[in-house]
Amino acid sequence: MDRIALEIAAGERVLVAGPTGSGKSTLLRALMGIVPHISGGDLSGGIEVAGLDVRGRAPHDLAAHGVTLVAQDPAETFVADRVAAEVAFGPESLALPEREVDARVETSLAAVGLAVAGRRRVRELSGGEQQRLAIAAALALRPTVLLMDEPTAHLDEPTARAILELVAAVARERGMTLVVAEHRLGIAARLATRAVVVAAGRIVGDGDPRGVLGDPAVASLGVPVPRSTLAAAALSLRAPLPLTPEELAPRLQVRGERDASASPRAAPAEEVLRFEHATYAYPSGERPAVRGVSFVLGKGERAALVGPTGSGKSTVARLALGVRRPQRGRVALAGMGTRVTPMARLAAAGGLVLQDPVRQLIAERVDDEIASGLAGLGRADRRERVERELERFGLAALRARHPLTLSEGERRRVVLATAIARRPAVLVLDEPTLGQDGRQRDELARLVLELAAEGTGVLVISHDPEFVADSCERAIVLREGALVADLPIGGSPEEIERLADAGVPLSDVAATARLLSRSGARVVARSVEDLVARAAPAAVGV
Amino acid sequence: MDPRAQLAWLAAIVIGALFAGTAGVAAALALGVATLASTRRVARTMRLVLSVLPLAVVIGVLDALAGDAARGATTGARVVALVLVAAAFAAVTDGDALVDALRWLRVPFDVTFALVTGARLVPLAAADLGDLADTARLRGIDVDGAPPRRLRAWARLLVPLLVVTVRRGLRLGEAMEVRAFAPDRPRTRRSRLRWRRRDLIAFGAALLYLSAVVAMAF
Repeated sequence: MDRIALEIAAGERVLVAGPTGSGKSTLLRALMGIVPHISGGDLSGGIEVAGLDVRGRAPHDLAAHGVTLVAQDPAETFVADRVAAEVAFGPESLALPEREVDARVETSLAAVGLAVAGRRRVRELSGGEQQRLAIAAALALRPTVLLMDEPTAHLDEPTARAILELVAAVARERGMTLVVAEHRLGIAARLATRAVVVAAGRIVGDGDPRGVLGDPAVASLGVPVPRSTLAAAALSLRAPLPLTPEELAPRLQVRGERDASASPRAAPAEEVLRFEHATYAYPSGERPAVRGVSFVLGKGERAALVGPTGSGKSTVARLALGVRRPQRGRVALAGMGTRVTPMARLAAAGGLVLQDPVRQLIAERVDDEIASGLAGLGRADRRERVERELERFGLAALRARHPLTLSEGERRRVVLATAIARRPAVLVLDEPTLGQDGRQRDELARLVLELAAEGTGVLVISHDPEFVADSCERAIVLREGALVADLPIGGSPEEIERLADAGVPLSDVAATARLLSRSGARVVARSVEDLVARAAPAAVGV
Repeated sequence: MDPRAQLAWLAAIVIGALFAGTAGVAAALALGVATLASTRRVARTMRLVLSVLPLAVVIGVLDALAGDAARGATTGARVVALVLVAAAFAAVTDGDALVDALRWLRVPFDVTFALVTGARLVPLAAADLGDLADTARLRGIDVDGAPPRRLRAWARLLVPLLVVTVRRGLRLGEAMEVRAFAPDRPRTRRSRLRWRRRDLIAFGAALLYLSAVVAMAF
């Protein structure tokens, strides 16, 4: 944080936006007293929250006086096995009388729609329910100031929308002040009364959310401004700017003729991955995580694995790379059956990037990490590839550092560099955009296209419809371990309808095109540019 | 069953298995198997027994070499029994209940809480280690190979695992603090535990069993 000056009135709902590493989290953690009391570091100037001087108060003291924080991943914050005990933890820490604790548990669970879940086990809740529980646990402290650090990062689009709407409603009802850092701006900005943009530790934008996000300078910082807002700005729509497809579509009219049908997809020349009725159950699982899945991925093809939590996406990804082997059916990676081929040989053909880079760094130097997957190659070859990836990812200056001492963003780059250094036949990206800003997301999508052009088949698991639309050409839809649809991600109305029917979350562009096509026009659009070329501001402003 | 009664049975059975010879081991085996079977974890129980069997055999054989064959067999069975009893206890109790039971025994909250939270981190650490192992597999590192190479491969994963686990611990600590937790401040002492008739009977039976063990062994 660098000379931050910010005043928030009671009852405001403030959205904090900014690129990754801009200081959003630091700002929230400073309001909670974690900075500097737990994190260490130097704090000059003053911070006052709920009338209390943060410099003189530890976080638990602030929490006892009505300030609390909900973290990004609720699963990392739970202290109890049962839902009611989890919510009781805060009031018990305040040493409230037993009856008061029980009353707060009851009202807090009711407020988030978990009234009947008190006896359930925390780890049996879905991702959305876990985040509701974390919010209930915060509400049980009766906060006047609720801070939230990317509370929807791990959730799919509809669940994220429900959570943010819930929080806004509770805040309105209780007159609570809300400060939320988010990357999901389309939903969050509609619910906020004010948006603050942070970049390089300073506040660079502050005001009405629609006005702030419509400022072209904000998007150029890497803030993931909704595509609906970008399209509206490109079409010079008047304020207030739309934030979602539902707000954008009624304000557009379609220009020109009906678009032609999409051209049929060419069959890929060569396959890099084949699933034949593959079935897999984990040793601890009662029913198979993946059941009878069949598909073929071609050389250079980019497919998204789509489906709700627990639908088997991650298991399909691990089966594809041979780190899990099907109990029934067959999986072949680059022509090698994964049940019969030694892992060392399969390893040369697959690359995996998980959402959390820390769980994928095992060497003591950055260059050794990248080289660790190149075992089969000659020395000169290995050195050349390591150099190339260090260069490509801007890591050359960090080559001798221990990977675990790098920043989160740098660690991600090391993991990516390591996964692609051997030019795998198949690359799997599991939630690669989590916590990434707009610019990083765009760069990653470009990298996917680049690798595919070099012949790598790419499987993407992502909750981010914009990233899926940018990086993938095909959606493989899973439900309860079974493949239920396999569709092209195209821009024609028919393709978009089929995707929506199969439960694939639509990008802003696709959702807008769908709404326009429903009103009689036929709009084919894959990008903001397509949309801008086909639409104009509606004659009668809405 | 009330966690206090469960805890009493755990203590009684473990002491019995350790000090009451063949009869104590047999009782522990029977109770462990019966409890796990009642939770319908039969397949998992079988896998658990199979996984500790080599260790039990090695310890049993070592003991047999030092003394007599019968003692070796009892020692081997004792290892299996203790693992089964621990697994059965973990299957039927949950951390919240355990915290309550230990608090009833006047163990300070921060001690019980640290204990239970540590136990809760074990499955999470196992999942983290699984991801690290997958990473290693994809780098061609032989984590599934012959024992000496396998051991070296897993050893490489320990530092990253430690980092991930410490990070988890720090995040949990922060999460507790933002919910007003301070180790030196008074907390609500809730007595969620209620003795019912059958709990008291079970508790009494555990104490009786323990007295019998003590009488037999000493």
